[in-house]
Amino acid sequence: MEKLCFKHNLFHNDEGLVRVPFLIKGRLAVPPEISREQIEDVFSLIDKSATYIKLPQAQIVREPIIDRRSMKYTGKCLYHVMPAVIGPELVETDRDKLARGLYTLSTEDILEYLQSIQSALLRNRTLISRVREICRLTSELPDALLDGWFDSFPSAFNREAARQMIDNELAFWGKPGSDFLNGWVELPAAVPSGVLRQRVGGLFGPNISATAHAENISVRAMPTCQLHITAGNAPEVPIISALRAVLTKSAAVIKLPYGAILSGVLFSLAAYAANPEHPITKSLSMVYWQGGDDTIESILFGPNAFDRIVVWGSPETMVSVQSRALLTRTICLNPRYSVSLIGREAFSGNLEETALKASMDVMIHNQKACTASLVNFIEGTEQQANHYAGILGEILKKWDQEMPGFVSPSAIGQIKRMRRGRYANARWYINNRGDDFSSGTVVIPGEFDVLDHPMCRLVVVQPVNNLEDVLKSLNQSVSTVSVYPESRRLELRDRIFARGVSNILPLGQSERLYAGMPHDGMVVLSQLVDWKNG
Amino acid sequence: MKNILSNLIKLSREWASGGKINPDEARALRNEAILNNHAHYLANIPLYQKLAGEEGCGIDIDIPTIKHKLMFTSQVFKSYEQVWLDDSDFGRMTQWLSGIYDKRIDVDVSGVKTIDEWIERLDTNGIHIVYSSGTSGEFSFIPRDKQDWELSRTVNINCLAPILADRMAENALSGRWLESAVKLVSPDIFASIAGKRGLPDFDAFFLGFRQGRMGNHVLIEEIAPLFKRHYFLYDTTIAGTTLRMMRRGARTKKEQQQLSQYKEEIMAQEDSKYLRLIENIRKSTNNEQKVIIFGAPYQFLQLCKSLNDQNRQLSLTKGSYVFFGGGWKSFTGEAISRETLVSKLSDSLGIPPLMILEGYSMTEINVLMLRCEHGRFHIPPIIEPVILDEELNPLSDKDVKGAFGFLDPLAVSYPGFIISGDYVHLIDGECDCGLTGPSIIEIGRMPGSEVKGCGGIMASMGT
Repeated sequence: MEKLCFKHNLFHNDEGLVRVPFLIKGRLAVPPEISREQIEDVFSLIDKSATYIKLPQAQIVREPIIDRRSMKYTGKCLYHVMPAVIGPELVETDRDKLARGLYTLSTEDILEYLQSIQSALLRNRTLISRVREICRLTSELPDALLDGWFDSFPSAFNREAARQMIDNELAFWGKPGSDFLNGWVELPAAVPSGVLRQRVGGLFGPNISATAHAENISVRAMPTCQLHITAGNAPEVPIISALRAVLTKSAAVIKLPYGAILSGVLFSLAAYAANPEHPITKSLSMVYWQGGDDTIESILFGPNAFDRIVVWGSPETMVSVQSRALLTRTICLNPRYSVSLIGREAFSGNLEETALKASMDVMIHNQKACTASLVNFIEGTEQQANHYAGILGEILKKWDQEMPGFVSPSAIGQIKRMRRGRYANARWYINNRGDDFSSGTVVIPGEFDVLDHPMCRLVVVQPVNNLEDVLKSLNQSVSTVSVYPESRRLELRDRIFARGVSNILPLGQSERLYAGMPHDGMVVLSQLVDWKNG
Repeated sequence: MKNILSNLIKLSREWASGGKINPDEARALRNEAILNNHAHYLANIPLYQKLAGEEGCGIDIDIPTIKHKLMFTSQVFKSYEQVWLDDSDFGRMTQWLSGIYDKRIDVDVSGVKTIDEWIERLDTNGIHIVYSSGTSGEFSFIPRDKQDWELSRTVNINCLAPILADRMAENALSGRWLESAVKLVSPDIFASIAGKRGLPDFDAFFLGFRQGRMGNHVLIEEIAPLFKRHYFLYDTTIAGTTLRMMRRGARTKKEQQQLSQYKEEIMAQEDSKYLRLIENIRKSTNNEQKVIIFGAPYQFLQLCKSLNDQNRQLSLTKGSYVFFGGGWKSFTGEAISRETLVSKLSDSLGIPPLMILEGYSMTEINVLMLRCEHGRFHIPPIIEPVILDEELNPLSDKDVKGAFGFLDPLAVSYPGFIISGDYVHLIDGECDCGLTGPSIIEIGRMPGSEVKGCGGIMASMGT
């Protein structure tokens, strides 16, 4: 990996300019030489808020640099220089090639492949550190979370975890998923005689072969051609998508998101360095283009270009993709949010400990993850809610000291809008860093529109007479509900599930993730393969 | 305070008539009025007291601090709970309104069942409510006392009459009396004289309802009597309750019936209503009476369409006007280009583009800003515009883009330091039209803000 980087001058921060390669169906595409002055000249011609420029041979993304001490924009920018992408080049048209090559791989081959990537990453820790420092320049994640993610990055390709995902997510008829991925699996299914077979003997005589009962019932999980449109709220999103494509041994295009381009590229560079000729590498593309670029998307969203489109992201992205890819099966990992339910038992126990657990559900990806809790419903009086909000505010202050978070200008503006607008009557407990918001809680006894939430360590505390009162506000937009105490969780669990919520977990455990875990109500690998009868 | 405002209005009138004003004098007067209002709000408006307390601001303050810390967003006028309206809990609504008003509201609202009854009840107690709505159907309620209300009327007549007179050659508002009046008389007397003289050589046509409590209805009621004759597209009252129901949906069978009946009565015969209005415009024109037509952009498009469907064109009497305002987007999201509309209007009504006027305002502010022939909405010197960046920090430059806010010294009974949901491009300097000072050259909505404004809400009636 280092050699490749040296050869093509990749992943070096050259005075705010970083050259970033793409993997395009096994080919390492590198960007052309272009100077910072040339880039700034081009950007100076367009709106100063622009973050992207498409040139004939290159694409450039501009990201604002964040000062890690103050966690505020410095006014300087980092430019990612990337190669151009051509739509038709991304689409796999030779399905026979896939049937002869990629689709014949065994589960062991896949696991070997992942292990080789893991080894490549472990051998290139210096490079990973360098990429981490480049990411740190613009990452909105606190340093501790960013470091934690990079430290654990190679373990994402752990052989046993991967096997567990395949065996559990593709399990069928009590058999492990790897069986179905490896080939046809005979099932002990009792097949009733069809009406036609019952009649055929009477019409044409009992001895013809058409009357024979089918003995072998076989099913197979066939790979698919996949397009993944990923989101940048967390660096692992493009990695999860790529991993799912690899585990289903599928030809895939992963669209990297603004804000998390480098993590995906690092994976693809490892894939290329470790296994340049491997059928998986030859069928994998990890690229960036600006969302909405019709020269690319009109090709990719066209009929038969892909068998599956996986979309992570904003409601606008969902609507846009679904409306343009009408004939392709789309798997939507919708934008969702999470809440916590805290029973009145908390006030007779250790309230500080309860608030600490609640804060752990708040802090997930700096409250950007769909599993991060935005609203804490407190079973109690408004006075009790205020007491709790004060304690939680103090705990968040400690998190701020330990893990200073980035609060975007728009989020700062939104909090001011809330405080001086619709929620001006609410009681606010704000922690500041300098003059600016760093975290806080607000007690809103009445109506709250979750679309107003800025998702930056702000907890909306809502008092309710009874936790059951919250049920009416739960729906499919809610990903996770964390509940305290456990007895109330078990009591409410099925009623919460009935409203479309995906995860109901003990308070403080919303971060929970494991290989083979259902995601947004789906076992995603199972959605990504085609289940064939043969 | 009254003298300060009176002097500010006089200064604004001189500015509107194209006279040279001393910007430092205007700023000093404006600042004095704003600081007086700050002290008044701090002493009398509970929600302002709360915000000032949270921000650590006391009576001694300067204008930059007010801009930085004490501006509410326009959402503060909807910081009540929708369920109170759903449940007709007007006691809670009144209590909430007290929080943004400079006097304690002790009005007995027992027996009040609807928004309209509530507004009437408050009105009889000297609290004048105007509301606006957006796509969500959540109303903003802005309370004004009688003095604020009169002041708003006075300032608009004082600022608009000289500008309009400049364009309305040979009418009752122009001529030597205006020149003298601009220089000599007090704002009150000026407004009174202008009101009495009226515009008898014009017939007015309003593409809206005869009565209502939305910002545009209130304006209509104020100005309609100034004209010789006036006509309405809908010769009826639009009730707040109905309007809310239309946006938020009927909740009961009874409401569903009311809504259906209303739509049947009002919307189903819309074409015939436009045709009737067109017929009255034609009659005025045949009598060589000048006309002035008021409406929202999408309504003028509908007017042009109705004429086109009939294969007809009008040729309005020389000196006639079209006046529109209220936003460029309908609730269906269809954007309307100004050039397209002006071209259609010019063709359909036989009126030169110069006679097509546009105004910019909002329910929370007390002035109407007119677009000049050079495309600028000029802000009278009585208003202190504030442009804010993404973090809601005030920007200070002569050419800035950002959220449009303002410090309105005329708002005494409610907090008048407001950040709107509009995103604007503001420039400061002399304009070729002769007016000076800040003006807005582009208007959009802040990301995430719902479509709002009289034009927008009227467009929603048909959806």
